[in-house]
Amino acid sequence: MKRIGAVAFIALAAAVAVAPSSVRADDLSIIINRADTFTEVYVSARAETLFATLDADTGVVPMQNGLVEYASFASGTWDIGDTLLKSATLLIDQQVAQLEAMSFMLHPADDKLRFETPLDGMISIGVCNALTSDNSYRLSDLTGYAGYYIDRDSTGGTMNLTLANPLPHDLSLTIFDYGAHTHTHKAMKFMQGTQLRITLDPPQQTRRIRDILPFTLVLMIGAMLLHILLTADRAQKHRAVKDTGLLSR
Amino acid sequence: MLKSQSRRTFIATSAAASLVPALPMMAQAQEPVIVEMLTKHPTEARLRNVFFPRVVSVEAGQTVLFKATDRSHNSASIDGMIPESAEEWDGRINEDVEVTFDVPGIYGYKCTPHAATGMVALIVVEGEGKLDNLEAAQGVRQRGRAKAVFEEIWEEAAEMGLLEPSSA
Repeated sequence: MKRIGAVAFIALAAAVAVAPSSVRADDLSIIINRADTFTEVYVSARAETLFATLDADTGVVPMQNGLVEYASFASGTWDIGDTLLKSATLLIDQQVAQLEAMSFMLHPADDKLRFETPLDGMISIGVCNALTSDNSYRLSDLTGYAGYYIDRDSTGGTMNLTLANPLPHDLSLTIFDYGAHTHTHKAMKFMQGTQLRITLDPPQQTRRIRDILPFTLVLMIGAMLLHILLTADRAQKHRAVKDTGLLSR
Repeated sequence: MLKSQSRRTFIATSAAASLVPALPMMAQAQEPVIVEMLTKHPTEARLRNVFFPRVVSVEAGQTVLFKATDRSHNSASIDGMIPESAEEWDGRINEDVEVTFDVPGIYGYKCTPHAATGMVALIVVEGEGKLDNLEAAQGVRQRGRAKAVFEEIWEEAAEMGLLEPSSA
Protein backbone atom coordinates (compact mmCIF):
# COMPACT_ATOMS: atom_id res chain seq x y z
CA MET A 1 0.00 0.00 0.00
CA LYS A 2 2.94 2.33 0.65
CA ARG A 3 3.96 1.88 -2.96
CA ILE A 4 0.46 2.80 -4.12
CA GLY A 5 0.45 5.92 -1.97
CA ALA A 6 3.84 6.95 -3.31
CA VAL A 7 2.72 6.56 -6.92
CA ALA A 8 -0.44 8.58 -6.28
CA PHE A 9 1.60 11.29 -4.59
CA ILE A 10 4.06 11.44 -7.51
CA ALA A 11 1.18 11.68 -9.99
CA LEU A 12 -0.41 14.48 -8.00
CA ALA A 13 2.88 16.34 -7.60
CA ALA A 14 3.57 16.06 -11.32
CA ALA A 15 0.10 17.37 -12.08
CA VAL A 16 0.63 20.37 -9.83
CA ALA A 17 4.03 21.00 -11.41
CA VAL A 18 2.61 21.31 -14.92
CA ALA A 19 -0.57 23.19 -13.96
CA PRO A 20 -0.78 26.79 -15.23
CA SER A 21 0.84 28.94 -12.56
CA SER A 22 0.21 32.60 -11.90
CA VAL A 23 2.84 34.78 -13.47
CA ARG A 24 4.40 37.64 -11.57
CA ALA A 25 5.00 40.70 -13.66
CA ASP A 26 8.13 42.66 -12.84
CA ASP A 27 7.82 45.36 -15.46
CA LEU A 28 4.70 45.96 -17.50
CA SER A 29 1.35 44.24 -17.09
CA ILE A 30 -1.59 44.50 -19.44
CA ILE A 31 -5.13 43.30 -18.83
CA ILE A 32 -7.50 43.02 -21.77
CA ASN A 33 -11.23 42.78 -21.24
CA ARG A 34 -13.08 41.73 -24.39
CA ALA A 35 -16.70 42.43 -23.44
CA ASP A 36 -19.70 41.84 -25.68
CA THR A 37 -19.89 45.35 -27.11
CA PHE A 38 -16.66 47.03 -26.07
CA THR A 39 -13.06 46.35 -25.15
CA GLU A 40 -11.02 47.62 -22.23
CA VAL A 41 -7.28 47.68 -21.82
CA TYR A 42 -5.55 48.28 -18.50
CA VAL A 43 -1.80 48.82 -18.15
CA SER A 44 0.37 48.95 -15.07
CA ALA A 45 4.05 49.40 -14.27
CA ARG A 46 6.30 51.35 -11.97
CA ALA A 47 5.47 54.93 -12.91
CA GLU A 48 8.89 55.75 -14.31
CA THR A 49 9.00 52.49 -16.26
CA LEU A 50 5.53 53.17 -17.62
CA PHE A 51 6.37 56.63 -18.92
CA ALA A 52 9.76 55.53 -20.27
CA THR A 53 8.39 52.44 -22.00
CA LEU A 54 5.60 54.40 -23.64
CA ASP A 55 7.93 57.31 -24.41
CA ALA A 56 5.58 59.73 -22.65
CA ASP A 57 6.54 62.93 -20.87
CA THR A 58 6.18 62.72 -17.09
CA GLY A 59 5.44 66.45 -17.14
CA VAL A 60 1.80 65.59 -17.72
CA VAL A 61 1.55 64.40 -14.10
CA PRO A 62 0.76 67.37 -11.86
CA MET A 63 3.60 67.84 -9.37
CA GLN A 64 4.64 70.35 -6.80
CA ASN A 65 8.17 70.42 -5.37
CA GLY A 66 8.80 67.03 -6.90
CA LEU A 67 5.76 65.47 -5.21
CA VAL A 68 2.67 64.25 -7.01
CA GLU A 69 -0.21 66.66 -6.54
CA TYR A 70 -3.04 64.23 -5.91
CA ALA A 71 -5.64 66.92 -5.24
CA SER A 72 -5.65 67.86 -8.92
CA PHE A 73 -6.76 64.33 -9.80
CA ALA A 74 -10.24 65.28 -8.60
CA SER A 75 -11.07 66.77 -11.98
CA GLY A 76 -10.32 63.49 -13.75
CA THR A 77 -7.10 61.99 -15.04
CA TRP A 78 -8.02 60.75 -18.50
CA ASP A 79 -5.87 63.44 -20.12
CA ILE A 80 -2.83 61.85 -18.46
CA GLY A 81 -3.98 58.47 -19.73
CA ASP A 82 -4.42 59.81 -23.27
CA THR A 83 -0.94 61.33 -23.24
CA LEU A 84 0.58 58.16 -21.88
CA LEU A 85 -0.56 55.95 -24.74
CA LYS A 86 -0.26 58.35 -27.64
CA SER A 87 2.68 56.46 -29.14
CA ALA A 88 0.78 53.17 -29.13
CA THR A 89 -1.19 51.81 -32.04
CA LEU A 90 -3.82 49.17 -31.52
CA LEU A 91 -5.33 47.20 -34.34
CA ILE A 92 -8.32 44.93 -33.95
CA ASP A 93 -8.73 42.69 -36.97
CA GLN A 94 -6.31 44.93 -38.85
CA GLN A 95 -8.40 48.04 -38.21
CA VAL A 96 -7.13 50.89 -36.07
CA ALA A 97 -8.97 50.97 -32.74
CA GLN A 98 -9.35 54.24 -30.87
CA LEU A 99 -8.10 53.93 -27.30
CA GLU A 100 -9.89 56.39 -25.04
CA ALA A 101 -8.48 56.81 -21.55
CA MET A 102 -10.90 56.21 -18.70
CA SER A 103 -8.60 57.08 -15.84
CA PHE A 104 -5.02 57.09 -14.65
CA MET A 105 -3.92 56.58 -11.08
CA LEU A 106 -0.72 56.33 -9.07
CA HIS A 107 -0.48 54.10 -6.02
CA PRO A 108 2.52 53.50 -3.73
CA ALA A 109 4.86 50.97 -5.31
CA ASP A 110 5.55 49.26 -1.99
CA ASP A 111 1.86 48.40 -1.72
CA LYS A 112 1.32 46.94 -5.16
CA LEU A 113 -2.27 46.23 -6.04
CA ARG A 114 -3.40 42.92 -7.45
CA PHE A 115 -3.50 43.37 -11.21
CA GLU A 116 -4.68 40.27 -13.02
CA THR A 117 -8.38 40.66 -13.83
CA PRO A 118 -10.52 43.38 -15.44
CA LEU A 119 -12.00 44.11 -12.00
CA ASP A 120 -8.46 44.57 -10.62
CA GLY A 121 -7.87 46.98 -13.48
CA MET A 122 -11.00 48.98 -12.78
CA ILE A 123 -10.24 49.17 -9.06
CA SER A 124 -6.65 50.22 -9.64
CA ILE A 125 -7.49 53.16 -11.91
CA GLY A 126 -10.14 54.59 -9.57
CA VAL A 127 -9.26 58.00 -8.20
CA CYS A 128 -9.96 57.11 -4.60
CA ASN A 129 -8.86 57.99 -1.10
CA ALA A 130 -5.62 59.41 -2.43
CA LEU A 131 -7.49 62.65 -3.03
CA THR A 132 -7.84 63.46 0.61
CA SER A 133 -5.11 61.49 2.31
CA ASP A 134 -1.86 63.18 3.20
CA ASN A 135 0.15 61.83 0.31
CA SER A 136 3.64 62.98 -0.41
CA TYR A 137 5.13 60.73 -3.02
CA ARG A 138 7.67 61.16 -5.73
CA LEU A 139 6.96 59.55 -9.06
CA SER A 140 9.80 57.10 -8.41
CA ASP A 141 7.91 55.75 -5.38
CA LEU A 142 4.75 55.00 -7.30
CA THR A 143 3.18 52.47 -9.61
CA GLY A 144 1.05 53.80 -12.44
CA TYR A 145 -2.25 52.31 -13.55
CA ALA A 146 -4.20 53.39 -16.62
CA GLY A 147 -7.43 52.14 -18.16
CA TYR A 148 -8.64 52.53 -21.74
CA TYR A 149 -11.96 52.00 -23.44
CA ILE A 150 -12.45 50.97 -27.05
CA ASP A 151 -15.92 51.39 -28.45
CA ARG A 152 -16.00 48.09 -30.30
CA ASP A 153 -15.94 44.45 -29.35
CA SER A 154 -12.93 42.25 -29.98
CA THR A 155 -14.23 38.94 -28.70
CA GLY A 156 -13.35 37.22 -31.97
CA GLY A 157 -10.66 39.57 -33.16
CA THR A 158 -6.90 39.43 -33.25
CA MET A 159 -5.29 42.41 -31.55
CA ASN A 160 -1.99 43.93 -32.56
CA LEU A 161 -0.35 46.40 -30.22
CA THR A 162 2.68 48.32 -31.40
CA LEU A 163 4.74 51.04 -29.75
CA ALA A 164 6.20 53.62 -32.09
CA ASN A 165 9.66 53.87 -30.53
CA PRO A 166 12.28 51.28 -29.58
CA LEU A 167 12.30 50.23 -25.94
CA PRO A 168 14.72 52.21 -23.76
CA HIS A 169 15.35 49.17 -21.54
CA ASP A 170 14.74 45.44 -21.32
CA LEU A 171 11.13 44.71 -20.57
CA SER A 172 9.19 41.84 -19.06
CA LEU A 173 5.60 41.92 -20.19
CA THR A 174 2.66 39.98 -18.80
CA ILE A 175 -0.69 39.97 -20.54
CA PHE A 176 -3.96 38.77 -19.05
CA ASP A 177 -6.48 38.44 -21.85
CA TYR A 178 -10.16 37.95 -20.96
CA GLY A 179 -12.96 37.14 -23.38
CA ALA A 180 -15.49 34.52 -24.43
CA HIS A 181 -15.86 33.43 -20.77
CA THR A 182 -12.27 32.34 -20.55
CA HIS A 183 -8.86 33.89 -20.32
CA THR A 184 -5.23 33.37 -21.17
CA HIS A 185 -2.04 34.85 -19.91
CA LYS A 186 1.27 35.32 -21.58
CA ALA A 187 4.68 36.34 -20.32
CA MET A 188 7.15 37.83 -22.78
CA LYS A 189 10.53 39.50 -22.68
CA PHE A 190 11.76 42.23 -24.97
CA MET A 191 15.31 43.50 -25.30
CA GLN A 192 16.35 47.11 -25.07
CA GLY A 193 16.28 48.77 -28.47
CA THR A 194 13.68 46.47 -29.97
CA GLN A 195 10.22 47.63 -30.94
CA LEU A 196 7.38 46.26 -28.90
CA ARG A 197 4.96 44.44 -31.17
CA ILE A 198 2.39 42.07 -29.74
CA THR A 199 -0.16 39.92 -31.51
CA LEU A 200 -2.96 38.50 -29.44
CA ASP A 201 -5.41 35.98 -30.75
CA PRO A 202 -8.72 36.06 -28.91
CA PRO A 203 -9.01 33.67 -25.97
CA GLN A 204 -11.03 30.65 -26.98
CA GLN A 205 -12.32 27.66 -25.15
CA THR A 206 -10.01 25.41 -27.19
CA ARG A 207 -7.03 27.34 -25.90
CA ARG A 208 -8.22 26.79 -22.38
CA ILE A 209 -8.45 23.07 -23.03
CA ARG A 210 -4.97 23.16 -24.54
CA ASP A 211 -3.67 24.87 -21.42
CA ILE A 212 -5.00 22.20 -19.10
CA LEU A 213 -4.27 19.24 -21.38
CA PRO A 214 -0.89 18.33 -19.80
CA PHE A 215 -2.48 18.51 -16.36
CA THR A 216 -5.35 16.28 -17.48
CA LEU A 217 -2.99 13.77 -19.13
CA VAL A 218 -0.84 13.42 -16.03
CA LEU A 219 -3.92 12.92 -13.89
CA MET A 220 -5.22 10.27 -16.29
CA ILE A 221 -1.86 8.45 -16.33
CA GLY A 222 -1.76 8.64 -12.54
CA ALA A 223 -5.26 7.20 -12.31
CA MET A 224 -4.35 4.39 -14.70
CA LEU A 225 -1.21 3.55 -12.73
CA LEU A 226 -3.23 3.54 -9.54
CA HIS A 227 -5.80 1.23 -11.12
CA ILE A 228 -3.07 -1.17 -12.35
CA LEU A 229 -1.36 -1.24 -8.98
CA LEU A 230 -4.63 -1.79 -7.12
CA THR A 231 -5.54 -4.62 -9.50
CA ALA A 232 -2.11 -6.21 -9.08
CA ASP A 233 -2.33 -5.84 -5.32
CA ARG A 234 -5.77 -7.45 -5.26
CA ALA A 235 -4.55 -10.33 -7.45
CA GLN A 236 -1.56 -10.85 -5.18
CA LYS A 237 -3.78 -11.00 -2.09
CA HIS A 238 -6.13 -13.38 -3.87
CA ARG A 239 -3.20 -15.66 -4.75
CA ALA A 240 -1.92 -15.51 -1.17
CA VAL A 241 -5.34 -16.56 0.19
CA LYS A 242 -5.60 -19.24 -2.48
CA ASP A 243 -2.15 -20.57 -1.52
CA THR A 244 -3.34 -21.06 2.05
CA GLY A 245 -5.85 -23.57 0.71
CA LEU A 246 -8.71 -21.99 2.62
CA LEU A 247 -10.66 -21.46 -0.58
CA SER A 248 -10.46 -25.15 -1.63
CA ARG A 249 -13.01 -27.64 -0.34
CA MET B 1 -21.76 44.43 -20.71
CA LEU B 2 -23.82 42.80 -18.02
CA LYS B 3 -25.08 39.34 -18.66
CA SER B 4 -28.81 39.29 -19.30
CA GLN B 5 -29.67 37.51 -16.06
CA SER B 6 -27.59 39.69 -13.78
CA ARG B 7 -28.58 42.71 -15.84
CA ARG B 8 -32.25 41.97 -15.20
CA THR B 9 -31.46 41.56 -11.53
CA PHE B 10 -29.56 44.81 -11.61
CA ILE B 11 -32.43 46.65 -13.31
CA ALA B 12 -34.95 45.15 -10.91
CA THR B 13 -32.79 46.13 -7.94
CA SER B 14 -32.29 49.61 -9.29
CA ALA B 15 -35.96 50.02 -10.11
CA ALA B 16 -36.95 48.83 -6.65
CA ALA B 17 -34.35 51.07 -5.08
CA SER B 18 -35.58 54.04 -7.04
CA LEU B 19 -39.09 53.39 -5.76
CA VAL B 20 -38.04 53.09 -2.14
CA PRO B 21 -37.35 56.78 -1.73
CA ALA B 22 -40.46 57.54 -3.73
CA LEU B 23 -42.76 55.77 -1.27
CA PRO B 24 -42.11 57.96 1.76
CA MET B 25 -42.04 60.84 -0.67
CA MET B 26 -45.74 60.36 -1.25
CA ALA B 27 -46.42 60.75 2.45
CA GLN B 28 -43.95 63.53 3.10
CA ALA B 29 -43.35 65.54 -0.02
CA GLN B 30 -40.48 67.49 1.58
CA GLU B 31 -38.24 64.49 2.14
CA PRO B 32 -35.40 64.45 -0.39
CA VAL B 33 -34.83 61.42 -2.57
CA ILE B 34 -31.47 59.92 -1.67
CA VAL B 35 -28.92 58.85 -4.26
CA GLU B 36 -25.80 57.31 -2.78
CA MET B 37 -22.36 57.85 -4.25
CA LEU B 38 -20.60 54.51 -3.89
CA THR B 39 -17.27 52.94 -4.73
CA LYS B 40 -18.85 49.49 -4.85
CA HIS B 41 -22.38 48.63 -5.95
CA PRO B 42 -24.33 47.27 -2.95
CA THR B 43 -25.44 44.08 -4.69
CA GLU B 44 -23.20 43.71 -7.76
CA ALA B 45 -19.69 43.66 -6.29
CA ARG B 46 -17.98 43.77 -9.67
CA LEU B 47 -19.59 47.13 -10.44
CA ARG B 48 -17.40 49.93 -9.12
CA ASN B 49 -17.94 53.65 -8.81
CA VAL B 50 -21.71 53.92 -9.04
CA PHE B 51 -24.61 56.16 -8.14
CA PHE B 52 -27.29 54.12 -6.43
CA PRO B 53 -29.93 54.04 -7.64
CA ARG B 54 -28.68 55.20 -10.97
CA VAL B 55 -32.07 55.97 -12.51
CA VAL B 56 -34.46 58.04 -10.43
CA SER B 57 -37.78 59.70 -11.14
CA VAL B 58 -38.88 62.75 -9.12
CA GLU B 59 -41.62 65.31 -9.29
CA ALA B 60 -40.86 68.88 -10.31
CA GLY B 61 -39.83 70.85 -7.23
CA GLN B 62 -38.50 67.83 -5.42
CA THR B 63 -35.02 67.65 -3.94
CA VAL B 64 -32.43 64.93 -4.42
CA LEU B 65 -29.74 64.41 -1.82
CA PHE B 66 -26.54 63.04 -3.32
CA LYS B 67 -25.04 61.31 -0.33
CA ALA B 68 -21.27 60.91 -0.10
CA THR B 69 -21.48 57.43 1.43
CA ASP B 70 -18.07 56.48 0.03
CA ARG B 71 -15.13 58.79 -0.42
CA SER B 72 -13.74 60.43 -3.54
CA HIS B 73 -17.02 61.03 -5.33
CA ASN B 74 -19.14 64.02 -6.26
CA SER B 75 -22.22 64.75 -8.32
CA ALA B 76 -22.14 67.19 -11.22
CA SER B 77 -24.52 67.80 -14.10
CA ILE B 78 -23.24 66.82 -17.55
CA ASP B 79 -23.02 69.60 -20.12
CA GLY B 80 -25.86 69.28 -22.63
CA MET B 81 -27.73 66.72 -20.56
CA ILE B 82 -30.07 68.97 -18.59
CA PRO B 83 -33.01 71.10 -19.78
CA GLU B 84 -32.03 74.49 -21.20
CA SER B 85 -33.65 76.49 -18.43
CA ALA B 86 -32.38 74.27 -15.63
CA GLU B 87 -29.44 75.16 -13.41
CA GLU B 88 -26.23 73.19 -13.55
CA TRP B 89 -24.74 71.78 -10.36
CA ASP B 90 -21.23 70.73 -9.39
CA GLY B 91 -20.89 69.16 -5.94
CA ARG B 92 -17.64 68.99 -4.06
CA ILE B 93 -15.73 65.74 -3.67
CA ASN B 94 -16.57 63.87 -0.42
CA GLU B 95 -19.50 66.15 0.40
CA ASP B 96 -23.24 65.60 0.33
CA VAL B 97 -25.06 67.91 -2.03
CA GLU B 98 -28.77 68.66 -2.34
CA VAL B 99 -30.24 69.68 -5.66
CA THR B 100 -33.82 70.78 -6.19
CA PHE B 101 -35.21 70.00 -9.61
CA ASP B 102 -37.79 72.61 -10.62
CA VAL B 103 -37.76 72.11 -14.38
CA PRO B 104 -39.27 68.91 -15.81
CA GLY B 105 -36.86 67.05 -18.05
CA ILE B 106 -33.98 64.65 -18.40
CA TYR B 107 -30.92 65.22 -16.23
CA GLY B 108 -27.72 63.32 -16.89
CA TYR B 109 -25.02 63.66 -14.28
CA LYS B 110 -21.62 62.28 -13.36
CA CYS B 111 -18.95 61.90 -10.74
CA THR B 112 -16.23 64.16 -12.12
CA PRO B 113 -13.14 61.95 -11.55
CA HIS B 114 -14.99 58.71 -12.33
CA ALA B 115 -17.22 59.67 -15.25
CA ALA B 116 -15.08 57.93 -17.85
CA THR B 117 -15.07 54.75 -15.78
CA GLY B 118 -18.86 54.78 -16.03
CA MET B 119 -19.98 56.63 -12.89
CA VAL B 120 -22.89 58.41 -14.54
CA ALA B 121 -26.61 58.38 -13.82
CA LEU B 122 -29.97 59.84 -14.73
CA ILE B 123 -32.78 61.74 -13.08
CA VAL B 124 -36.11 62.16 -14.81
CA VAL B 125 -38.15 65.07 -13.49
CA GLU B 126 -41.81 64.45 -14.17
CA GLY B 127 -44.02 67.17 -15.60
CA GLU B 128 -45.03 68.79 -18.84
CA GLY B 129 -42.27 68.77 -21.42
CA LYS B 130 -40.13 66.29 -19.54
CA LEU B 131 -38.98 64.68 -22.79
CA ASP B 132 -38.15 67.97 -24.54
CA ASN B 133 -34.43 67.52 -24.00
CA LEU B 134 -34.35 63.73 -24.36
CA GLU B 135 -32.89 63.74 -27.86
CA ALA B 136 -30.26 66.32 -26.95
CA ALA B 137 -29.31 64.39 -23.82
CA GLN B 138 -29.02 61.14 -25.73
CA GLY B 139 -26.87 62.85 -28.33
CA VAL B 140 -24.19 64.00 -25.91
CA ARG B 141 -20.89 62.30 -26.58
CA GLN B 142 -19.73 60.26 -23.63
CA ARG B 143 -16.17 59.37 -22.75
CA GLY B 144 -14.93 55.87 -22.02
CA ARG B 145 -17.18 53.45 -20.22
CA ALA B 146 -19.85 56.10 -19.74
CA LYS B 147 -20.96 55.26 -23.29
CA ALA B 148 -21.84 51.69 -22.44
CA VAL B 149 -23.34 52.66 -19.07
CA PHE B 150 -25.59 55.29 -20.61
CA GLU B 151 -26.81 52.74 -23.17
CA GLU B 152 -27.89 50.59 -20.23
CA ILE B 153 -29.37 53.58 -18.44
CA TRP B 154 -31.54 54.60 -21.40
CA GLU B 155 -32.75 51.02 -21.67
CA GLU B 156 -33.40 50.87 -17.94
CA ALA B 157 -35.30 54.16 -17.95
CA ALA B 158 -37.42 52.96 -20.87
CA GLU B 159 -38.18 49.68 -19.07
CA MET B 160 -39.23 51.69 -16.02
CA GLY B 161 -41.60 53.65 -18.25
CA LEU B 162 -39.82 56.93 -17.55
CA LEU B 163 -39.34 57.84 -21.18
CA GLU B 164 -43.07 57.99 -21.85
CA PRO B 165 -44.73 61.42 -22.00
CA SER B 166 -45.77 62.57 -18.55
CA SER B 167 -49.41 62.01 -17.70
CA ALA B 168 -49.42 65.12 -15.53
